[in-house]
Amino acid sequence: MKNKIFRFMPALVFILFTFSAFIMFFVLPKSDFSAMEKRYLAETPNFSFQNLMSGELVKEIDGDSEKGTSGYVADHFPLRSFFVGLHSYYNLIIGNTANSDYYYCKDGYIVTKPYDTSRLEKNIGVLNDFSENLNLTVAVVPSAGYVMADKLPVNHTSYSDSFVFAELKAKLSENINYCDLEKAMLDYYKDGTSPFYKTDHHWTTSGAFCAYNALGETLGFEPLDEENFHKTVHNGFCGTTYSSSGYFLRDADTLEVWESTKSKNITVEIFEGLGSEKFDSMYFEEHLSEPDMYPVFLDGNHPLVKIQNPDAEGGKLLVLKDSFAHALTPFLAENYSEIVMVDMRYYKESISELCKQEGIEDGLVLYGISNFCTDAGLAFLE
Amino acid sequence: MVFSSLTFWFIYLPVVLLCYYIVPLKARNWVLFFVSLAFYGWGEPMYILLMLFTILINYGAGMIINKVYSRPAKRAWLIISVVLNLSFLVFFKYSGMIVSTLNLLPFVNIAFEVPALPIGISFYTFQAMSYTIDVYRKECSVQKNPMLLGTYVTLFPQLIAGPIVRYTDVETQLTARTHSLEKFKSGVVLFLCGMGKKVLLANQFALMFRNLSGVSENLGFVSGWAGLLALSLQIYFDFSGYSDMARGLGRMIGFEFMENFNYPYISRSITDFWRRWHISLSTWFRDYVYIPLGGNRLGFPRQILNLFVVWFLTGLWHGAAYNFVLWGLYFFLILVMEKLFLLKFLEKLPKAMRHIYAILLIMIGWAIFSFDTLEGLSTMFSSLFGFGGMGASEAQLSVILSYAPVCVVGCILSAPVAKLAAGKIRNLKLAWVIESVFCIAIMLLCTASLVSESYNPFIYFRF
Repeated sequence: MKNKIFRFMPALVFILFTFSAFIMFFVLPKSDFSAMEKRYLAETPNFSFQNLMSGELVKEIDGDSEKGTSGYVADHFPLRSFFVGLHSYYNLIIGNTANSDYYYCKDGYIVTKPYDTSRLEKNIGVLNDFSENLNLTVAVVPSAGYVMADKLPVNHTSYSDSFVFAELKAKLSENINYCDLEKAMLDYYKDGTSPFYKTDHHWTTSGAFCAYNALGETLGFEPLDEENFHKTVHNGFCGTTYSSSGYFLRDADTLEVWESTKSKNITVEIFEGLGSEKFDSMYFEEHLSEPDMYPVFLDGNHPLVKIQNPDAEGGKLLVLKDSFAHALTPFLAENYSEIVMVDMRYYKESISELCKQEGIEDGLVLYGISNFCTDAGLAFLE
Repeated sequence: MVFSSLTFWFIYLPVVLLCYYIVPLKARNWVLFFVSLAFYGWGEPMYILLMLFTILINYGAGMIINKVYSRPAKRAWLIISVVLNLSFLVFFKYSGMIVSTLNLLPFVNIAFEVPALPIGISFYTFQAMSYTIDVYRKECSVQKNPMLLGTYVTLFPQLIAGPIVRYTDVETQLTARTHSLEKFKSGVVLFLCGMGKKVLLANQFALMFRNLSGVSENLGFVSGWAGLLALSLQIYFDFSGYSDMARGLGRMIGFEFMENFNYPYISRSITDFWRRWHISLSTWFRDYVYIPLGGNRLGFPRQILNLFVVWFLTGLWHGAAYNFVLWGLYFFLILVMEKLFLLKFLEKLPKAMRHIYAILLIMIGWAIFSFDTLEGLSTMFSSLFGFGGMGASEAQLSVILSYAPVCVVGCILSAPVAKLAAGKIRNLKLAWVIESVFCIAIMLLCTASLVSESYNPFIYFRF
């Protein structure tokens, strides 16, 4: 008798699973923002007759593959992150990592996969042309997967870093100073500590500090010693590679903020749209309570940021950059009285105009290698 | 709506099951009729009218054919209904192909906006037609209740991807089907098997092919065949997964539909393959086209012509593009050769050789099936025959290595191994434990995969 009832267990399990998801979906409170994905989740569908007949309603519920938007059901599915994590680990276990953009590496590292080099030649050409106007220094941060090659999984494809750096050395014009961060980062990694985060694609504060020292030689300033900084350590850093890969069982990393004990009068002005806002610190501590803490440096991506340090000895510097510069620029601010930091992905005005207005003669181009090889924004240098 | 979506599984299905089992037996077909219309109209509500029209035509034709006495009159009404049914199909599915073909002619330039393809139109048109033809042939009695006919035509489990259920197969089930826990349970297991085939296998193979061909390099010999293997596995698990889900859902609401696939990839000839692949379609063409045309009873040349017609139409049925026609005719040629001499020759070969012969021809068939441009097809063929370089690029090798385990599983599950194992397990005392664990694993992994499709973090986010 007992056995007879148990025979129907699969049906019971299915009903329980399906109906509990059904009920939970309608009952559980919905959040409108996903901190992990840094995006707003789909809004409650608009149940109007017009919306139904036009087919819009279905797209709001199921997602729109043409526009690439996700639907309400999937965005607010019960235990969503559990399922996302399960999917990532299932694929990892069956060896299928081809469809992920990240490598699950040794010692807790999650590393971005190799990039393509589609715009490398073009971007080199753009910089060579632009070096006529400005005293340019170029520094490109190698990829984490290239520096930490020993941590990669067995099945991986190779990074083009050595090719890219060789191209840079060979093809950058003689007017341009080249700062070799490839060597700096590889040397840094030799003693086993990595200049990159475990859970984020950026470099650590200490990695950026190493680059600061290397840049001192190229740009000709005297870098400050490590003792001049007061370090605070923040736990629970789950950055972009953590959230995007879905490897949610990996440990969070730590993030260090090095605050200068010397320069006390630094001001930051962030320009966004037509307005701007002034701050008296380069560190935006509200981001330390988010899973991704990296925006603590200069508040993340903005088209234009001006940093002034009345106590610094050096002059003015233009920094054309991607987000790798955010951890580095606070160090540079020790040596320059004014730094104008421009993100070419979002800033669409003329750079030469900007330099004229500000009276800038020196420029630093600082990019992570994958952006340097793929970003189309640099072309706007004209 | 598609079965392998969160909306279907976790919203539509619970509502349907609740409504279906709450209402008294008599009202259940009404429930099915309405929920099936909702299923059909999801995304394109206007097409519900088209569906109602199809039902009305076949209902009316059935009634009239039943009423009129003279054979020519019956025949005339049958022809009218068939023409109407097919004209919908032609208009919605083939008008784009016809217009673009006509535009190739000099001085012809027809501007025409191709209508959106109503979901499942190829399937339900054939089903509806089978009813009217069977009434004409007196193989079933006329259905006087339009709702019941409507329920048969729209029945959501088999509406969009088959099996092409014939009216004669479900005539009695429509009014007198039984419901039991045993049937429901076997439906659940079948549905989950189908879901697993679709989400955990077919979708993976689709990604494998996309990852392989997405790499900028052309496919070489190795990566070309790996890609073709992925395509072949994808098509099989996608289609048979849908059929399993359809049959499973049918059982959950008391219906029993025919099996549509019988391990086609273990075939030892193409003749064998077409007895195992999409059985409901090939038997449909046999019974409603091949035999009415005279089959093999009117001499050999006529038989060849009949076969040609059937395979031309079978190809065309799969899609409104010439590669599908080519694909159909490709099988026509092979089948005729097998009939003439090949089968006799094959019988002398060892089993393994026959199997390799069949699987190679089937796979090459899928290449024709999958590329709708001559350019795509010729690059694929040049890879397959080694003109695109021998090996595979580093990126392609990495993809192949990634998907190797799931490919092995796919190949194993293409043979009846799992079925045999399941039969053995069923006799064990603790069969229910194994079955339940299996179901839970599939549910969790499929849900995880479906939910993950929506998970896309913005890395370069700006507040």
